[in-house]
Amino acid sequence: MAKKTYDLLFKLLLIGDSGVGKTCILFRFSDDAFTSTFISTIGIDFKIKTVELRGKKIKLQIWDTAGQERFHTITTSYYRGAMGIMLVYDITNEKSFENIVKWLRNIDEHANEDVEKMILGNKCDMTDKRVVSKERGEAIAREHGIRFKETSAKSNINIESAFCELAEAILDKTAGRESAENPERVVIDRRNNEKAPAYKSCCS
Amino acid sequence: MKRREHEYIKYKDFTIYCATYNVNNKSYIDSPLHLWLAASEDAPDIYAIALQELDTSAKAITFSENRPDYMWIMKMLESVHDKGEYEELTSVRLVGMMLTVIVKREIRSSITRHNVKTIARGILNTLGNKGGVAVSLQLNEANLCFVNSHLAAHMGFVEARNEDYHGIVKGLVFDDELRRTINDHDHIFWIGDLNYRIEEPPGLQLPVARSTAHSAEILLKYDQLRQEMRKGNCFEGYTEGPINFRPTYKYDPGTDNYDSSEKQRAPAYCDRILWKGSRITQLAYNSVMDIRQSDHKPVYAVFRVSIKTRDDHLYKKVHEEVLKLLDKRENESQPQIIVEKTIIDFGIVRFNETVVSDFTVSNACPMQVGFEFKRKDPPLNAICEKWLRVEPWKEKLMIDSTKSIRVKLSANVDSITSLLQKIRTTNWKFDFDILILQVENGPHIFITVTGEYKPSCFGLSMETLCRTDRPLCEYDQQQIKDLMNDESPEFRVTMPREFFLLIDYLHKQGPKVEGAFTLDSLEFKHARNVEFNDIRDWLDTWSNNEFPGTPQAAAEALLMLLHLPEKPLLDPYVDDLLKTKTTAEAMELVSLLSSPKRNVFVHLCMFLREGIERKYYNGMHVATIFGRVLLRSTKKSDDYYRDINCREFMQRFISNGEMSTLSSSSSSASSATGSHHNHHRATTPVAKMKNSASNASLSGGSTAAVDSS
Repeated sequence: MAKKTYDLLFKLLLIGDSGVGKTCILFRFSDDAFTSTFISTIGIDFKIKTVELRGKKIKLQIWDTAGQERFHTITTSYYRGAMGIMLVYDITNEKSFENIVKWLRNIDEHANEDVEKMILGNKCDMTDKRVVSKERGEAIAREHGIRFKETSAKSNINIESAFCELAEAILDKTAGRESAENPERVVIDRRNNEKAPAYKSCCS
Repeated sequence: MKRREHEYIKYKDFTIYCATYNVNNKSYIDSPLHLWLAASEDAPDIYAIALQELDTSAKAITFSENRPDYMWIMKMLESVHDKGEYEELTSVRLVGMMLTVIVKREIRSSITRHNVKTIARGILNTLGNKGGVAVSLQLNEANLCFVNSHLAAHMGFVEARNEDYHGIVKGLVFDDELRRTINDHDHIFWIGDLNYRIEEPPGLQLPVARSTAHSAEILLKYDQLRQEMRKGNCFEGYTEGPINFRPTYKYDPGTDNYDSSEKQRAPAYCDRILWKGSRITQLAYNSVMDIRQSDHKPVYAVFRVSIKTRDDHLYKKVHEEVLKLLDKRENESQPQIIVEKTIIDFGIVRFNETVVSDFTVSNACPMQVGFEFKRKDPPLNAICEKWLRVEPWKEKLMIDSTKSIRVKLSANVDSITSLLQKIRTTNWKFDFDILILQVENGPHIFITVTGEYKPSCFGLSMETLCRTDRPLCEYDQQQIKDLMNDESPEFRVTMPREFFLLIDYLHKQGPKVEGAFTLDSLEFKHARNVEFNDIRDWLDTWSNNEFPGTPQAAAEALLMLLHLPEKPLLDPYVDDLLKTKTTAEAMELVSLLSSPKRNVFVHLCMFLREGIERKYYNGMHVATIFGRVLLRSTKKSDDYYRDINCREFMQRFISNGEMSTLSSSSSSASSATGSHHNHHRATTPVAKMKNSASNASLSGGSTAAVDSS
C-alpha cells in the first residue's frame, strides 16, 4: 500500500439534518448497498472511494457527519478541511428542507470560501410521502447558485452521478490552479512584459 | 492490475520488416530500393531500416554527424510497400550509421512512446565510425528495440567485434523514464553490418569457390558470428534464421562478382539480422543481388510478432473491479473502536462536588489501534471544558484489549464561572461537553457528557440573586438559565439575601472573625473541604439554622460569592473607577451601577470598615483581596501596578481616614437607591426577607437595607 494508488485526493463532507439519509447515501456510493435500519451516526465516519475522471484517478475521502442537533456546533469544526460539501435533506421531511438555509449559513461561516457545494433531496423514491417538490429544491439551489439533484440511496438514483459531478467541479478548480502554476505561463507573462514598453511608446 | 493481466491482455500480430545495407558512401537515388524494402507479400506494419557507411568522411567522423539524411529517408518512404500508407516515426544517426523507423499510418496511434540513442565504439570508443544507434518504442503493451550497429572490421578482429557488442549492450541506455537498456525490451531486433567473417575453410579457395550457389551451408560452419554465438561469446539469447543467400560482402561495385581487387577480400556474411524475445516468427530472410552500387548486398528479414495488446473494454472492467476491491479493502481495514457508551449522564451535578464516570473502549479490529481525544478549536484549545478531566486522553489498544477511561466533573471555584456562562449562552439542549474520541486513521466518535446542574448561589451575579423569589435549591437549571438571561431592571430585593446572611453572621461574631480576610483567602481552602457544602446548603436554602461553620469559612464564602460571577462587582466601571482620584469622584460612578451591585458595594465597604476599625482584620490585606475581587480584570493579565492601584482604591473606601467622605457619599448613594427603587418598593417589602430582624442589628452602614424597610 506504500505505492500511491491515486492522482488526487479530494475530501468531501456530508451534512444535513438527522435521518435524511447521509449515511445511506455514503453506503450506497461506497459499498453499493442499502440498509433500511436507522443507525444514528454519533461522530464522524469516513469511507473512501476511487473514481476516474478525465483519466485521473481521484480518491474521494467522504466524511459522514452526525446530524443530531446537539452535535451541530461540534461538526462545524470539520467543515474547514472539506473541498466539497453535500448538503442533504429529505423530500418527505419539510423541516429538513427548511433547515437547508441554516446549513448554508453554517457553511458560509465555517467552510473554506471556495468549497464546492451541492444540495441533495434524498428519498426521492418515496413519491407518496413527498412534501417538498422538486421545483422547491431547484429554486433554493438556484437562489444560492448551487448544484442540485434529487437522489435515492434506496433505489440508487443519482448517487454516483452526484458524487462524480461534485468531484468534477473540484477537479475543474484544481486544474485551473495547476495551469496557473504551469511554467509555460511564465513564458507568456515574459512575452507580455516585453510587449509592454512597446505598447507604452505607442501611446505616448 | 498486473496479476489480472491475463483477463484483459490479448495478443495481436504485427508484421515487422527489418532491413540493413552498408551503402559504402554511395548515393542511391536511382537504385531499385523497392526490391529490398517491399519484398514481402503483405504491407508490413513497421519498418526498421539500417544503413552503414552513409558518410565515412573524416569530417563526418570528426564532427560526429548526427543529422538524419533526409534524401535517404525520402527515398525509403518512396520504396516501402505500396499497399500501405507510411510515415517516418523517427530516425537516429551517428556518422555512417542511420536507423529509420517507418510505420503504417493506421498503427501510429498504437505507438505510445519512442526514444533514440547512439553509442560510439570507434577509435578510443569516442569516434562514431563504429558503434550503434538504436530506437526504443512502445507498441500497445509491448516494448520493442531496434539496434543498428557497425562493429569492428577485418578478419582477425573477432574479439573486438565481441567487445563492441558487449560495449553497446552495457553502454546504451535510453533517456526514458525507466532508463531502459536494450535488454529491457520484450522484442529486440539487432540489425547491421556486424562484420563477422568466414574463417578459411580447408580445401576451399578464395574467392571464386565461395561464390557458388550452394556454398552457404558449408560456409556458415566457419562463420565467425555463429561460432562465437555457439561459444557464448556474444549475442546471448539471440536467434538468427537460416541463411539461404550468398555472402553479402565483398563485391565489385556494379556487379555480382566478389572482390577482384588486389586485396582480394574473402567473401563474408557481414550483414545480419538477429532477434531476441518471445512470440517472434521469421517469415523471410534474404539478400538482394540486384542492387549493385555498394560492395555489400542489402539484406532484409520479415517477422510476425505477437504484440501484447490491452483490450480496452476488458481493461476498464478489470480496472474498475480492482479499484473497487482496493477501496473495499481500505474501508474494511479502517481501525475501529467500540465505545461502551456515547452518553455519560452525570444526573444532578452540584456545586463543589466532584462526580466520576468510567467507560470502556475496546479494540474492534485485528490490529493495534491508537486513539486520542481531539483538541478542540480555540478559544477552548483543549480536549474538554474546564470542569472536566478525562484520563487517559491518549492510548494505544492492543488486539482484543479494552481500556477504561475516567471522566471527572467538578463544578467548583475554578470552573463554575465558565460553566454558568455556557449554561447561560447555550441555545439548544445543554450538555456539559461533547468529547471527540479520535481513532487514529479512523472515525471520530462523539461522547456526550450530560446531566443537570443544580444551581447554587455561587457564581450567580448580584442582579440574578436579587431576582430570585425562593431559595436557590428550589430552582432547576433551566429556570436559573432564564433568570440569568433576564435583563429587566426589576429586582425582588435590594441586595442578595445570601450576601446579607453572610454579612449578618460575620457581623454578629464580633472578635471571633479575627484571622478572616487574609492574603491567602483567595485560595479558597475552606471550599476544598466537604464541610463547606453545608455552608452552600445553608445559603441555598435560606436556612434559619445556626451557621454550619467557622467565621473564617463564612468570610471565604462571602469572597466566593463576590468573586465567582462572570463580571466583577464594579463592572462595567472597573477601569474608569481605577482612574478616579477622589472618593467623591468614584461614588459618582458607583451610583451608576445596577442597584444590587451598588447596594452590595456600599454595604460591604461599611461592614469592612467597621471590622478594620475594631482591628478584627488587617486593613491592608482586606484592601488587597477585595481590590482583586471587586475590580477583577477581565483581561487575564496580572499586572503588579494594577494590583496596587486596586488596593489603593479599596483603601479609600474602607480606611478610617476617609470615613467622613464615605458617609456623605453613602448617604447620597442610598438616596439614589431610594429614587431608583421608589416605584417597586411596594412589591419588594423587606418584610418578605428572612432575618429581617437582623437588618436592624446591622449598625451604621446598614442604611441602604434598612432604608427599604
